[in-house]
Amino acid sequence: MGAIGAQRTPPDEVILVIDHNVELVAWSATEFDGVTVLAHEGTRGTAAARNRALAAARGDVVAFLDDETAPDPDWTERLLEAYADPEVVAVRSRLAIRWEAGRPNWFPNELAWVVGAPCTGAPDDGGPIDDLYGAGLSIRRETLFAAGGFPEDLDHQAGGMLAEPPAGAKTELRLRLHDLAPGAKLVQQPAATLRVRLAARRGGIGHLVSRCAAEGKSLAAVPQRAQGRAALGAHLAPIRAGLPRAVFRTLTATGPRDVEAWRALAAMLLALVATTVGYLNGRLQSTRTDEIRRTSTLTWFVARTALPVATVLWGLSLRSVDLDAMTDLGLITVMPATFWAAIVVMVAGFVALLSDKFALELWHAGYVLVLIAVLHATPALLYPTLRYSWAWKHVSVIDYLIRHGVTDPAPGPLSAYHQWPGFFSFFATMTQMAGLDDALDIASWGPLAFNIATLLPLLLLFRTVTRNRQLVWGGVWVFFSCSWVGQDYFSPQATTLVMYLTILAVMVRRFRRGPIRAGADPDGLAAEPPPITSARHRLIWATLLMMPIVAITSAHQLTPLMLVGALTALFVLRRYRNLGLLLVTAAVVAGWDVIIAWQVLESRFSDIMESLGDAGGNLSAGLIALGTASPGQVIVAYADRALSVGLWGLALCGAFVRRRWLRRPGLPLLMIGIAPLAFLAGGSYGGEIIFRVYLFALPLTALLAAALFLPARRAWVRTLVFPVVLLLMVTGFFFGNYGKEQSNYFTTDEVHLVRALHRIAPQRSLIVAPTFFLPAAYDQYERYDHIWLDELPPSREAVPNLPGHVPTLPEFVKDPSPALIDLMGAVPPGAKAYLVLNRAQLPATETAGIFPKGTIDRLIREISGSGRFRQVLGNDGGVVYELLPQTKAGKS
Amino acid sequence: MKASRPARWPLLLLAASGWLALSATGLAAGSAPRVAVTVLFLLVCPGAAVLALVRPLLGPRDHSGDAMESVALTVAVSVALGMLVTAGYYMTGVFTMPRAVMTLAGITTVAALGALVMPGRRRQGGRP
Repeated sequence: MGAIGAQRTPPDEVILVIDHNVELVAWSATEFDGVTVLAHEGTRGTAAARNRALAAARGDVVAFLDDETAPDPDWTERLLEAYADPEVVAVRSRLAIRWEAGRPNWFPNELAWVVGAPCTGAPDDGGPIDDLYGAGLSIRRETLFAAGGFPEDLDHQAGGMLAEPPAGAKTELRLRLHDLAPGAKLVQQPAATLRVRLAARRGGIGHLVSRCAAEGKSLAAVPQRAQGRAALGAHLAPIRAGLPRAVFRTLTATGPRDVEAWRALAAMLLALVATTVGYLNGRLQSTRTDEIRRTSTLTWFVARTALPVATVLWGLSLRSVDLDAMTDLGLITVMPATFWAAIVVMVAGFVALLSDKFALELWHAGYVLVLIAVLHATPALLYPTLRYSWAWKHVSVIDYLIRHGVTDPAPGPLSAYHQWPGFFSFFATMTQMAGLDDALDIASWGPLAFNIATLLPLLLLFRTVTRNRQLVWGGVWVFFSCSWVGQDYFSPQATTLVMYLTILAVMVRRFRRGPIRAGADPDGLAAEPPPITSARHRLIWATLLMMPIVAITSAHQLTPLMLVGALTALFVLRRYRNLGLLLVTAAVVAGWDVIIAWQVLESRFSDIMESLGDAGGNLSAGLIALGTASPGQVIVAYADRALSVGLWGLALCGAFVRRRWLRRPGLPLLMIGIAPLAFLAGGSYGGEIIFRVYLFALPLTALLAAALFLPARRAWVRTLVFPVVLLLMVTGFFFGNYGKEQSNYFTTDEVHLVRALHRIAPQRSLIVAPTFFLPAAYDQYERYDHIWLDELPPSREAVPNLPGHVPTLPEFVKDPSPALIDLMGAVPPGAKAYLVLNRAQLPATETAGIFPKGTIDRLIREISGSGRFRQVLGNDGGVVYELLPQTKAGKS
Repeated sequence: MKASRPARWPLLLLAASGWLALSATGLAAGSAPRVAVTVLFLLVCPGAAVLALVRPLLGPRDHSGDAMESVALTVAVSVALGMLVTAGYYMTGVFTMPRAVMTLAGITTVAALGALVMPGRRRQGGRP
């Protein structure tokens, strides 16, 4: 204060801001005359204190000092000289640094910026500068005011010691000044000298490290990432440049006498590491964490140890699984206790992690990846062959493409796959490039890969509507544990779903054309909105997005329609409206359907609808006609429904509780999520469409269900209710997704049986099986005809002109043997007819309730007794009968 | 901050990736390096090259999550290009594996080399 009083040109006004110290305020007010003393009680930190002073200041130029700096007598005079140029908005002084306790012998010049010196070196001639870093800054008051003062949220201070705002705040301030006046000049005034007396406590290595970390963290928080990165580079540049010299001095023991070379080298490396770590740490904490309280040691410990423990438990549990012991409840009945322990530990750890403010988000990602692995890699690791007969069918289609090198547009049972071949052609190429015999290995890992690929677009989508990290990761977790409809196997729809989500995430992020009114956001959930884009940028983004859009169109029937629906829903929102993209997408979809796939659409409409999915796969007792499902399957069916209805219920409650957030920042996700509901109106799809709608609406429902619990204010909700809900969801997932594993998993014997059949069966033979739950059923499918008995018509009235030799399903169940002989007798000359009864048929028909109990046994008894069938193949996986040609003896 | 020139070798490697993948098909069928190289190429490289080409036109990349968006788009565009090229060959009945791979490699090379000579290529977000 004395030095300010001694200025040759006294300042118009001196304002002293005292940070959180009432006694000092009172003392200063009596001690200093002509000084405005302000008590600062708000946000701690230099930036906030300076803004407090700025609001009270009246002069044209404001200069900032602190308790460690003392100006030379001509300081104000010299500073004001520089402002003679009207374009100059900020002037930085020259610093003369003096260490109160002597300069530490490890402190090299390269680290001068840590104590407040400009980091890029200062021009001696008063030339322009391109950063504001360093102490002794003065700025035109009105400009600084217009720029909003010092950015307080970037002001990370080291170890509770007040000092110059760190580099992030200065960088952001410079960018704001530049935005206000692009031609503004920032200059250094070397004649204005400021003497800095560095207190002894600043000479410690601990202060160096914490200050460097604070600088890095502050730079990471600069909203313009590239600028923050560039400023980081500028700060580290002197250290990097000085390293070779420091190494040389260490090795040769040369250099200035007051600096110990090896310690200076160590200090530089330490500063380099600390700044970089601080920066990375700041970057990884890109979601908002201020809602979360400081974590207890227990929470910290649970969150860090549960993941490895769960992973090990899961791995151990896979060693002792007896798949043959599976009952009609599915996979859940053979998983050992360690498996469930792994899930419980994982859920507990994840919930603990959610309340850990300081955890890197890599931990969250790790938990979600292990969850995906437990849910989707378990079958790939356990089962001897590929799971799921639909996946086998897709492998067979890929095999067809590899063998023929051309799609087969002729109408046939699988022609839909040839009219939308994108998925099959891509993986056929991958199989050939990798030199694999078939796509089985790729297909086994499909569910894991597709789910992991879903993670990124899902995170993007969630982060555009909320920055609360608890909510983002909670929503992601709920998504994967409720995604039970089983459409993520090796299939076109799984591939296109990933692209669908990616396109929508980019749409929401990059196609914003107007400001979003900030609605009420009492829970602090809103995300930093994506930047508004110009028409030119939107055009280029749209061009880029056309590639995945056309690819989706070429690969699947339903997903492009869902995409058009979602784009239409976004079109309703003025700020995300994009007529061009909507029209072009609709035109591409319509064009593909009319030009390339019209034949299929016209002639085999019902087949397409069927191939949209495999209702049978996860549907349950409701659709079954003739028998009664086993008690286990009824439980599975109710578990599916409970999970789905429960999720929707939670989502509706979440929507109500967070309605104000949902109305503004959550709006784009809301539109994307409810767009699929329009497809419920097209109820002609049978029961299947409801599961697709469930899946396509899942991003919305999962986030809303998570929003009911997160961010949790009440401890008992967080620690008791939420984990139980998550456990119920995972359990429900195992019922829904793996409740039919008795018929979805195949033994190697079953595969050998079917492959052996394909070796002996002549061309154009007829292969009959009770259901399609037959591995490799469609291998070389162009050579054979296939009939699955469960697809026989329910009655003669249902299918007009049904040929006389084809029985209806009730006719078959009533009298299996004659019905089969009629059906299988109609084969072309030279061809044969085979009946395959593999292990999976019994659970697929009788357990599921398609046939009454005992039908398969009766069938085997009757055909053995009829004398018309001969067993041609048989192993532990099942038997194959051949229909013998009718003999004279048979006729009589 | 002065805009420093980014390194050229990643784009050059990207430009060569397709041809490396094609030459990897000469390795033993199903061997680990062959599987790794081909899967990596099909899932990443064409999209990475296309994104590198259009990146200067797409506007600033300094919103939170932009890196994730780039990764997701890289995979999506790669798979999309793979699907479209291979589906085109299969539907016209002229598919051979080298032909499809060479087309994808060509696209990758052109896009990556285009990105290399694209005006305005500099370290991202370098605002004056």
